Amino acid sequence: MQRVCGICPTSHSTAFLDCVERGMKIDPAKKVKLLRVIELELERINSHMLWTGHMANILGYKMLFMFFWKEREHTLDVFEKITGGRIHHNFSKLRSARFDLTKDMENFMLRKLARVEKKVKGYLKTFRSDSIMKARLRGVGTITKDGAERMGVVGPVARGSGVNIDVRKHIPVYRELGFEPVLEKVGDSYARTLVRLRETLQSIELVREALSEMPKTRLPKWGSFAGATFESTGRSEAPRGEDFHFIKAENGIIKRAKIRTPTFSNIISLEGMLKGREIGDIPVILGSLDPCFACMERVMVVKDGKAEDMSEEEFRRKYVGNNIPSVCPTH
Amino acid sequence: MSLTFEALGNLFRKPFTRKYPKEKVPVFRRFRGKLEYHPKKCIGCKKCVAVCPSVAIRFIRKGKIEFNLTQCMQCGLCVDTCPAKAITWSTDFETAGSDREKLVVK
Repeated sequence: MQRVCGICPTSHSTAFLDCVERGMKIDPAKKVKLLRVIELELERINSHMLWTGHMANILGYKMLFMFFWKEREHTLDVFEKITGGRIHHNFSKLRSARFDLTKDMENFMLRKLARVEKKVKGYLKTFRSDSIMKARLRGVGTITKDGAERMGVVGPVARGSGVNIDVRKHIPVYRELGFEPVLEKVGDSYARTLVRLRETLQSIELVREALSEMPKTRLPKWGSFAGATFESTGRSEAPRGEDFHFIKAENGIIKRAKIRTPTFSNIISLEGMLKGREIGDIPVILGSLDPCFACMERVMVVKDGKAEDMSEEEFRRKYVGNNIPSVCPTH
Repeated sequence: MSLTFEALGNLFRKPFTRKYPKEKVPVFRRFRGKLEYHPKKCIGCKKCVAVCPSVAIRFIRKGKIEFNLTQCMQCGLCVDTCPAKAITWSTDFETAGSDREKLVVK
């Protein structure tokens, strides 16, 4: 499940594991939950820094873009040190995690995060005071609170409009860490930028709290769902919004899987945002939604300008062949 | 304003990027690179073949298994499952090349 997206792999695997663990009625240990919180929040820092750098690039601030991506390199180092992968972490396992954190790694993480926090605070000040940025972002691509609720947008786009929607506030372990969603009222591109930057700082704080509350026990043994039959749903808060998984499994074989990715529900609001704006605003508005094209893409076969319509069996027979295994043993 | 100072400060610092092919990047200990196979330790239980989600492992006989790295996605299930620890990670990440045969670990 990691391979759905390259920017938010952990949120997909967490949603999938949430789904499987709910279906099999497993409650993972507190340590495992906190490790997942750390992974998710590091990923959020990573994604938001990538996005803000990209936004600065769209606005013409090449230098700020470089600065953001330079800081992002430090969070990637943290990922490589604790999970062994820079992009695809493969850290979560059913009922457990792949590795434990050592004291050395915790110190490394805290040192890097302190550096990133200092820099991001400085950049947030720039975003708050710079007049050119305000001129390019304020009032561009506004979506009202009412409109956001009607369109069903999720994540920072909804929170920028003042809609208090966040999966994390429903998760007990986040509530214990004292989590409160970051909200802005206006709903334009500027509000969304501020939400993302403030969430970066909040995530750094959450990682620190999770580290301080980490119990000193050993990791439980990871399990497999061989032989399990269930039909269940799971969700997690990806950097772009709610990520929802539905899995139906029979005797350990996944019969049906459905993933609802966050960008897919955000991109619908684009039409209303673009109305009445100039051509030059299009990159800013589209960029402010944080469209991840791995989230958005769906399969469509187009031949001679016509879209082919086919059932699942036909698609399998025609394009997939027998290369896809029908059994997924663990996750 | 702070950005200007930072940019000016960068004039006197070393470049953040590395000159990669000349200068090797150090990797951390948990890094998952190419797979390594130790035929002497293998007990021929076929667990790795059963567990591989991308069907990259071909079992020929005990002590002779082929790992096709063009299909491998470094998920690490075979390494975690192997009871005899015959499959391990190496820190070699330079897997790009023009010959497919070089990407089959034997």
